[in-house]
Amino acid sequence: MSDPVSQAVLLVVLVPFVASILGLLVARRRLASAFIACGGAVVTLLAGAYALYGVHSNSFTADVSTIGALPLGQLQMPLNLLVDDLAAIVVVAVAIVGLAVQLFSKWYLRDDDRHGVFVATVSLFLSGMFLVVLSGDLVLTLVGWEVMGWCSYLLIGHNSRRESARKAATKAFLVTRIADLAFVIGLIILAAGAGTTSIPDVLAHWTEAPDRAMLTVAMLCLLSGVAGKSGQFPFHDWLPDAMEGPTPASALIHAATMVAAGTFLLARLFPIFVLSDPARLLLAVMTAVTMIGAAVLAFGQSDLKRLLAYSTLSQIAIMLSALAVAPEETGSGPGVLHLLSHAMFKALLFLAIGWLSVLVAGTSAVAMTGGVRRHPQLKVPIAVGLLALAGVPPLVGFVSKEYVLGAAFDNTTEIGSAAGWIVLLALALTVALTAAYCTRAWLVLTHLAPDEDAIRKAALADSRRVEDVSLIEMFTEPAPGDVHPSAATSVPTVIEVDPDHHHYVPIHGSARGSIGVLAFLSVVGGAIIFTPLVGVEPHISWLLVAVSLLLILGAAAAVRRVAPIDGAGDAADRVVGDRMVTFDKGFGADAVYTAVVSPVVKLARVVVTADREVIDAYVRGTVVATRLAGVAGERAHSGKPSSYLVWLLLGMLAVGVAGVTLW
Amino acid sequence: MIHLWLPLALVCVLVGAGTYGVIARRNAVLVLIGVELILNAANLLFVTMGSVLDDVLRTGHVLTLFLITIAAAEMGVALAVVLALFRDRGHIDLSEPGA
Repeated sequence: MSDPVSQAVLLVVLVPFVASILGLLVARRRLASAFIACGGAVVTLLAGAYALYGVHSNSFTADVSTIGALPLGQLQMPLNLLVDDLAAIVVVAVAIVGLAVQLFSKWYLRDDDRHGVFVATVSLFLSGMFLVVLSGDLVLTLVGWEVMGWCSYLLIGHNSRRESARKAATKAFLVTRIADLAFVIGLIILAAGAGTTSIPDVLAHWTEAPDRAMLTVAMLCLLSGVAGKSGQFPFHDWLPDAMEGPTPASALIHAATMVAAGTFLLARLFPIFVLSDPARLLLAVMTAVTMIGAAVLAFGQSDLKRLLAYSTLSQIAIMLSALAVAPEETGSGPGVLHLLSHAMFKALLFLAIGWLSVLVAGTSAVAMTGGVRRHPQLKVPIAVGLLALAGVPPLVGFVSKEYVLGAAFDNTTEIGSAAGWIVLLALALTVALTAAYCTRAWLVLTHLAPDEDAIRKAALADSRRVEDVSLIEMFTEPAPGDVHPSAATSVPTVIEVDPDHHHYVPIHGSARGSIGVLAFLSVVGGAIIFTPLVGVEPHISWLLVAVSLLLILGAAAAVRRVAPIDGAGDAADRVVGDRMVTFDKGFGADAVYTAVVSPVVKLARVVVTADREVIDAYVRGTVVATRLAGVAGERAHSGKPSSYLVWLLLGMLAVGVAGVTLW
Repeated sequence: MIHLWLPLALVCVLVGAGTYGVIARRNAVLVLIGVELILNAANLLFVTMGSVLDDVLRTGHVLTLFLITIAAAEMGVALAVVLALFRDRGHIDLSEPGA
């Protein structure tokens, strides 16, 4: 406890937690809450950086005791934190994204009366994520895991005046909760087998335990929870709906925290996960389906923010697939590397798209057409983000994707398992699809001649309130004074209809700076492989690079070729066409969910009825009987002495008869 | 000697009438008369059984003499109570609740 690294580790978890509570206390004061949130994030980042430095300067890998072990008899529950090189680097990445998100929300939610609550929730969310990352105990992992689940519900449903936001929040909560059921069972199996909840001891026990079948069961259960939190098929559909949350929340959930938690947990448990071939095969199939399906869906989305959401699904699937196929000696390095790089470029993309959505009022592809051309200050961040997402060298996305490809390739050559081939083929397809939807997004954003009517229609479709609609109709013939300040010199009709942002305020320098830092890290972050921070060898297979580059170039060229010159310049208009509605609905995932859920709900109704009408009837019966007895007793108390005398005489008679007959 | 059922029937009638008086009457003096009827029914039963049973000491008759004495004393006390009741309330209706 005395050494400063341990204290830094404790600070990393505690500071966001304290910041969230303080932030709630001053939630009504905008500056104070923003200051607490941003200050907490800065302190956390510094503490995390110091922990990273400490871990690597004297190879400090230690248990950090928190509140002491719980006395639970045979089950040991030390409740330690664990900091090692894996945890330290992820903490720093999460802290960077968290700070960027806090700075950005200060500007983005400047007109939101619940800004203070939002930033406090973000702090709590970060605290939960840090707890998961630094946890050395399965129980602490579970605590952080559930805190994140709850905070994600709050963040997605932040705009609770909109019904769609409430529904999306409930959906996210329910889907992840259902997935978590099996997750808890998996943790219990692991802890019960090892007799302790300490993660290093659990790993040591199960590595040597001969009972592989039980380990596989535990791992399959864990995979369910991981799939729920990380949005993998078949639990994926909550993630695109989570776009109902404000953009900073999306950036936080999608980039570094909640969805990455599943990957991190599997990386943490990698030494025993690698022992279970069935679990690895299941994860490979799951991620292959998710990465291809989500990439296809991303291409067909009519909304660019939802495109990013589906790309998140696809990218998370890529990092999980690295864990599914990485040979044992490779370890979890490639998956974690992709987690880090994805955190940087996806946070960058979300914040940049959020910025653009304020400028052009809407996130639909039609509204954003030509957005980058009209707002050139966004050109570099969005270009960097999309290039990194597509995996173009030398950006960070390229490096990490090559490592994942390399892991899959090693698997096929060294082990030759089915999982390796599935993932390798799926990765190849996903690389091409990713390049395709990135190109599509870029072409839409830089389109030359935006269709004014289409923008207006999209603005109408985006606005949900009557006064906004009338506002738009008023603007159909724009008066010179009604023009948006940022658009005054370029395109005349840019309509500000976003209900959250009634008047335009130029982006704050801090928010802009955080986007710049994320962009910088997305460009040069790949250099991390030359440092010992992640624990991977600086090695890239040139064959794979050549193949993936060809795939990227081919896909980009194909999309460039089919992209129409008129309209929104959207390649998906021509390729997907009218089926875009189906794409927006995620191929009817909701219908499938409903088909699964409705029998369960009916069964639940039957149970409720049985409980209420049968079991409760007995309980209520005692009440009725007591009341009847009470009424009878009350009637018997007439207050007339003569009636009591009758009873007395009857009693005497009864005693007399009893005496005579029994004696 | 008369048949035994005549005095026993009279005992039953007296007890029944006394019980009815105790339960149904509102006037305290009439209730007392009911009590007295029950008491005298008991006396009659004692005397009847004392004559029938072969008892050298004549317990039934002797006990009846005691009972008559005690009943007289008891009636004196009871009437005094009724008198006090009347002075206190101005009536002797037992169906009225106490003050």
